[in-house]
Amino acid sequence: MIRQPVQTLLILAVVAVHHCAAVAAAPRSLAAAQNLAQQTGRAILAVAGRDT
Amino acid sequence: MLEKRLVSDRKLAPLVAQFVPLKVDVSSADWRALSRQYPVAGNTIPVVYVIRADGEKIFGARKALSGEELPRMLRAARARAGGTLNAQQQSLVGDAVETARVALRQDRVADSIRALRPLSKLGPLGQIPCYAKAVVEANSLARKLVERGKSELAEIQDALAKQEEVFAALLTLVTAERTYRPLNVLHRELGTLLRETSRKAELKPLLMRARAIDKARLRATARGGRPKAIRELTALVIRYRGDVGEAAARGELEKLAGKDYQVPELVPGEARTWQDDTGKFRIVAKLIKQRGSKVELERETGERVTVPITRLSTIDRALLRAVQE
Repeated sequence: MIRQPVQTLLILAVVAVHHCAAVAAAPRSLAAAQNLAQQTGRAILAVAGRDT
Repeated sequence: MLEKRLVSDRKLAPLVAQFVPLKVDVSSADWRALSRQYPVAGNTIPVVYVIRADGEKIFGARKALSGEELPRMLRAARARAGGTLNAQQQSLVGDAVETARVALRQDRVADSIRALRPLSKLGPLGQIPCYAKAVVEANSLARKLVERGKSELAEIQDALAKQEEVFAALLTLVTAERTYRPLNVLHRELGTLLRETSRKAELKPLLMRARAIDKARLRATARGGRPKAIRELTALVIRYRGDVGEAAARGELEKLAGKDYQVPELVPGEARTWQDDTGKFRIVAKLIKQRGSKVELERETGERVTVPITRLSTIDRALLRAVQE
């Protein structure tokens, strides 16, 4: 049996890893996004605004 | 606000995950490229775009898309964006396209179609509903193959109308019907022509010969199938001796076994080697007589043996049948 605080910590760690992976996977340039879209068939969802 | 919502709204996450997210700063070169290629009237921000994998704009608007507007737009865009590929599918499509492209360049149509065939689980070849670059190429290759098949079909129809070209046309038809099977629309057309042809009594025997030759052709393309194909074609040359099937079978045989290959003959009273298809059973003997399902042979020593005909090779059986006829 895993204790409650340890379990919470584990869940948080997993969520953090997933979040980091998602952030890391997001392309940082139009060319990278186009490349990923061409590979996977996914459409690009671009939001243009001012960097804050 | 919109960006934050796309990243942190848990309800939207499964929908957003089906897109490639991209944040673009309006002072960047990417924005200049994007706005030049996909202009959206006005000068407010944010600007939201959905660009399909093949570069087609699905959505473009200068608004924050609040409330239900955003998920509604994402669902509509998703429906128009086509299917997506996982890593395994990407590699499957990539490999298939590469092999098919090389084969088509070398005029190996059957190999090209065979390479594309596994992709039919993603959708009908030529119309796979996905805009990934490799799938777009696969669809384009499949359409080229369909065009080729259609011109082949037209040639077959022309040739069927000419008496002297009927057998060659039937052989091409049988092979084309088999080769183009994964290309649904074309296969249906070829199948219809084949069925119409098979209803004509005068063409039935020719069609039977064409099918037998095509079967041997197909056998030759399988791994280790060449020796068996040679045996089958040899038997067909013997069986169709003197008719139109002989020349066609002989032509195929020459391609596989070379010009020097000799089709065995059965000369009455002369000893020859009889064998089974594996070559393990061999006997040098002359034919005495056939009785029902057995054949009586005489060794050079004078000893007589009776062998079941089914045990003999395809070629030996064809020779016996020719003698009987």
